[in-house]
Amino acid sequence: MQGFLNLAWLVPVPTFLAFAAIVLFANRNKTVSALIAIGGAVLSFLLSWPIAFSAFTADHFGQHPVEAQLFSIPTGTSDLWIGYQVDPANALMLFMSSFLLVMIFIYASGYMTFPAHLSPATYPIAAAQGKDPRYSRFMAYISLFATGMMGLVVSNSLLTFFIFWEIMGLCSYLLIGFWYEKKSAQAASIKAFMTTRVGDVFMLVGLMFLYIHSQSGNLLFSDILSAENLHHLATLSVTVPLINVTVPWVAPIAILIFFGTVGKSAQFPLHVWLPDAMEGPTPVSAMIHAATMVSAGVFLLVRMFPLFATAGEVAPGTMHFVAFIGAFTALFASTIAIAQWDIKRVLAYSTISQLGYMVAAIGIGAYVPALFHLITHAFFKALLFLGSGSVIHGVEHGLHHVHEHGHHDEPAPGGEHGGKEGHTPTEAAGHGHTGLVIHRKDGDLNLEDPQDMRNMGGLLSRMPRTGWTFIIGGLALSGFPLTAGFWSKDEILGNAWGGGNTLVFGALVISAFLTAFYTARQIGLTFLGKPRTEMAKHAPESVPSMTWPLILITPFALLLGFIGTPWGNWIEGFMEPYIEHLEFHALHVEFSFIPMLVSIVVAVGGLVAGYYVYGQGLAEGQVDPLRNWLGPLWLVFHNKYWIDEFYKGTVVAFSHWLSKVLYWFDDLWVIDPIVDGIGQLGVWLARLAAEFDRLVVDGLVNLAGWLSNRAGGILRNTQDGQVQVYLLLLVVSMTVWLLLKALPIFLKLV
Amino acid sequence: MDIIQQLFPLPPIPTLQQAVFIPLALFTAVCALLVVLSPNLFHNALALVGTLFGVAGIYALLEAEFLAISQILVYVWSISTLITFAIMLSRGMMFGATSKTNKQAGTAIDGIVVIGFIGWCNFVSARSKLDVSIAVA
Amino acid sequence: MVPLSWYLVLAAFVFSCGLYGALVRRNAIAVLMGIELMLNGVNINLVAFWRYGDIIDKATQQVVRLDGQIFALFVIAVAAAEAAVGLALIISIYRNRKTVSLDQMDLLKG
Repeated sequence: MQGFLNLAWLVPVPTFLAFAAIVLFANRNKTVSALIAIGGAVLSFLLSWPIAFSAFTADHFGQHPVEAQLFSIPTGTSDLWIGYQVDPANALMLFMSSFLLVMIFIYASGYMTFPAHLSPATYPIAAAQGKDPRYSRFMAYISLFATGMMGLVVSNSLLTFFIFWEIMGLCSYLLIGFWYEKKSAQAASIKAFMTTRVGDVFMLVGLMFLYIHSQSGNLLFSDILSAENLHHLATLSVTVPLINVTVPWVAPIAILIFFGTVGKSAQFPLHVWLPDAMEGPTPVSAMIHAATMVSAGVFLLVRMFPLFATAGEVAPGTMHFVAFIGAFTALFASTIAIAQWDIKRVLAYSTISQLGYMVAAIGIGAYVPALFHLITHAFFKALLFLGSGSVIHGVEHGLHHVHEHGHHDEPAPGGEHGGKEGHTPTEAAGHGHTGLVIHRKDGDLNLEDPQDMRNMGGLLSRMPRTGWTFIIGGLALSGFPLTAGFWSKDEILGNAWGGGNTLVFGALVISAFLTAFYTARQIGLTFLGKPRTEMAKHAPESVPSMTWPLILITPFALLLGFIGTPWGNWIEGFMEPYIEHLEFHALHVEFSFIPMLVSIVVAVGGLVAGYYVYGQGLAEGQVDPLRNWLGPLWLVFHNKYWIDEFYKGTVVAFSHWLSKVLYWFDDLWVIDPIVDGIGQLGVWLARLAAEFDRLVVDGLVNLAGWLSNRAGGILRNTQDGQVQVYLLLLVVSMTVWLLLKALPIFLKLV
Repeated sequence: MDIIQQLFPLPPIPTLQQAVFIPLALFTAVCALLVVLSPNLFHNALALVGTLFGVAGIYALLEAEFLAISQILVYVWSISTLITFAIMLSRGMMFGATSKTNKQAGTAIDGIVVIGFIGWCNFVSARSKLDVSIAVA
Repeated sequence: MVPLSWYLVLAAFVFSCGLYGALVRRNAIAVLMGIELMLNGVNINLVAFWRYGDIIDKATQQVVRLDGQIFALFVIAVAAAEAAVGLALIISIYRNRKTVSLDQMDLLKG
């Protein structure tokens, strides 16, 4: 089994080949494209799991992680080495992401039906097939995305890590804006790209500092994270400008790299892109915004943890900052989540909140729990996203059904009705989500919005597979005892408690309660009670290619936590040798029942509270009870603390203002006039030179020619063939000669 | 006036030789002028014969009798005959309205006058030496 | 005794007349006649200088050298030959071009 470890570099290859094959050859055929994409993902999966399991089964694998260079790209005096590595951390990532990618690919092949916002008349062929017009392109994008994710996981240097990181950023942009006919999707894709760009630029700066100040002259993890190099960075001090504080280099580098995580994992100041990114197709949300890409941000922290640990030792503020951002985000996002109506937005804020958990865990030094929660969260959050996608799909179908068959409570228009039964699905789809918008005390409601939970209710009986798997995922998310989320969340809480980080512990406990509450609310509003709309009444169960991935992920969401129970902590044992190998200190706490009890209490309490409020769903037209209890606070939550509006008023407005000023500066006032002036001057000088050339230079040349011509004209007259002229010339010449000879005589005579 | 005296030094009373020479030279000169100035080609030829005779006389006056005879034989007989024949053979073409002289007449006269003047000056400057030698003789 | 200068003046006059004829007459035969005049002017000079030059034997008081006369004789001979050839050329040209006007003879024009 050990031989598989050296094949790790092959993991990103099949999906990349699938991407190339779809783009180059298969883009005309949607079915073949889907098969190629799924095939690539399955191949990648079939490579990843043996690698992961050979790592899991090896004795003290962490002591001897596999690392090798494949080839180098010469860059001036140094080399950029491209290689791969397998260690316990990325073995777990390989295990998680390859499996989820396959599930999501299969799910996507069923999910990408003809979207409602498009007119079937524009795309008649795709509408007849019932598939998205850009189905193949979608498959190509997600294949490229998978390449980025797998490459990031197996890369052995921070630079290749960053390259794959950016490939994922690109794919994220392309996929969020996949339905670019929707204005909101366009805006969301740009927002996601720009927001993560802020973090990535900081990260790149951190990378450069790390490169400059490392002893090794490269960015290989094995070199930059070695104890000597970290010690070197910790002793090298720098005075940070503006704030004028002298700190070891390792601290600003850690902070800068952490900003990469803040952008990618949607932590507090830069979290705004993730909820909007739900404009993309739901498999994208599941893949990018739950399972893989946002986890990559946390994975970066896990990878760079020795650096952060060193920074925390010499400058404790660094880790406190990380912990603060994580804990604050966890609490902050979970409060927003309890007041959202969009089923995917709830999950998006939930994701932000859970990522905050992991970041907080890193911040308090809980290395293994962060990784553990990363893995379990990816499973149950992917399950929830895929489930929500299935729900949305079902409700959309219900909407089509209602459009096709008319509203039951409306009187049918007589005998004509039978003739209109034969509405084609394409015509019905043409209506899109343009339903009536009503203003309610708890936010505006679009009556035909298939994502608004107020339009759902009672779907458990309509969609049993989706419903039950969603409920299991929800329980795991809220940390119901014995599910995966319970164990991993408990680990984090236990570490926060044991490490004495009371504030972090408190924030995480509150957000755990809120998590359980909004999960119960979501389940209650969506699946329990009675259907509140016609479309919910007619929502069908999704196709098997969508439900089977749900069913296959469910066991992991339920049982994966048992690898990290406090009594038989396999993952701790698996990671321990690696921590020793890298010679850094991770927080290690004794098991305590207090945090576990607290965890159980808040989880179950939150669930019970949520069930108490929302267990029977809401009556048709009933306002959210929380709205009445919390009053204006609810509006604060519902409007996401007006952060978006704040950014719009400050950062975006400033950017617009700045671009306007720069436009004036560049195009109207300064730069262009200068450039134009230089151009005009050039033209003027050229004219002057042309005149000079024409008059002086050409004049000289023409003068020479003219003189030759005239001289020839004059002299040729002497050669006129007239004998007597020759004779006369002779005489004149003689005369002149004699005059000269006679000159002395004349002078004498005079 | 001194300059004119110097340029045209004439003895007051001609000797016998001089008395012969002066008419002969005048005849010769007039005939020479006729040769070039008379519009009729035949008159030119006749004037040429006259000139040649005059020159023969000058030879005789200079005590070169053989040359005088040769002059008459060669020039007056043969060359004159040749010229006369040539005139007669090309005749008919020469009686047109066109001028007997070409366009460069003025220039030519200027040049000739200047040359003659210079020759005269040369002669005057050389005269004293010659007179000395003649006096010696 | 006739002064040498008289001869020389006559010679110059004859020569000038000949030169004038050679330069300005259109008719080729007239030009030829001018040339004969020039030659005669030269001959007068030659003979006059021969006669008046200091080439007289001191003892006998006789002219012992005949340079001038011989030169003049050569000139006469050459002039005869030249006249013969020149007139032959003129006749030949006349036959070809029906003219003896030198104005119309510009085959040497460059």
